[in-house]
Amino acid sequence: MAPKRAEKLVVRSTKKVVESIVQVSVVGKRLTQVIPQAQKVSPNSDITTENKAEQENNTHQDGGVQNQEEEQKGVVNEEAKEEKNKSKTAKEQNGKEKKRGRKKRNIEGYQRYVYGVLKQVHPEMGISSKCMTALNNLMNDMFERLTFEVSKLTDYTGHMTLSSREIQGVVRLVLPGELEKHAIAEGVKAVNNYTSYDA
Amino acid sequence: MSSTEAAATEKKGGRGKPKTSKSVSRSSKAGLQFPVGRVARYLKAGRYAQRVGSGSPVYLSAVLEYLAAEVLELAGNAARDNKKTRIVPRHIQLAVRNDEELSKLMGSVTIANGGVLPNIHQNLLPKKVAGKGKTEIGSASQEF
Repeated sequence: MAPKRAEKLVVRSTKKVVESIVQVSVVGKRLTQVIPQAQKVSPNSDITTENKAEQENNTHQDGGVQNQEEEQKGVVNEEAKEEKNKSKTAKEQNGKEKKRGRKKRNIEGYQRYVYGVLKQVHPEMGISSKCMTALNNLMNDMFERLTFEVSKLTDYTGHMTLSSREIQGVVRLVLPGELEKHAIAEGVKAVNNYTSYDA
Repeated sequence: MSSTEAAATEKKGGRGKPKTSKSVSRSSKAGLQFPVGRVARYLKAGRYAQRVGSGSPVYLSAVLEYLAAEVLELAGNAARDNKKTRIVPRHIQLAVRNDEELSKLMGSVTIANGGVLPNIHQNLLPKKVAGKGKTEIGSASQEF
């Protein structure tokens, strides 16, 4: 009987090798976020018990240092790019905010004209802002009263054109007593000045 | 004579107005402070009539300016009576309510911070005291 050969037993085990490298880089005295970078997973890797230790040693000694240096350079470059982008976006936002701040309110009123009339009547007098608001509202109210009456008058008469004659009739309807007479005199004088300006 | 006239005509150029004429506002043409162009735009935008004449905004601006001048003159007088150099809403209220026609025109208007006219009804005042401290007793008959 021949002696039995000693058979080599090869044990194949499936193991997951997980390498996690955590880097902390300080740039400009500011701690950046902790970035878990490389998570290398090799599922179902057929590694013999003899070769496994050798592979782990190789990765930790040679490739690990090189990978860390390359990844640090990459992180620094990415951070520099991010800072540039942040500065650009900040400038753009500031520009937009300035443009928004420059936007003016287009609100028309009779304030400057009322002030001019005040300086004609009482040159030494001033006027408060609440008072100016009240007078502006008064002018708008009188304009609406007169034009509302004008529209009714043009409906009644059937005329298509709104002339100074219609305005004069409306002034006679709306304003009371002596106020009406003086207003008509002022209007006629203004129209005469306007028509005889270039003539 | 003829040479000067010819020179004047040469300076003038062609027909019509010169191209470098400066624009003049319609308010200054009419001698007004209130805006004629803006009032014309409001009249056109409001569709109060299909067409708007050139004289109507001038007339309306003159009427509005007259009303503003009337109110401001009376309010300035009220401010001067109170020894103030700045018109406040109280002065406008006093000016409007003391004037008969403006009070009629602005009868349904409330002026903010205007207050009221100082007025106490005669029957609410205390009765006059006679010589010995007795109050005057009116006659029994009343006149209506």
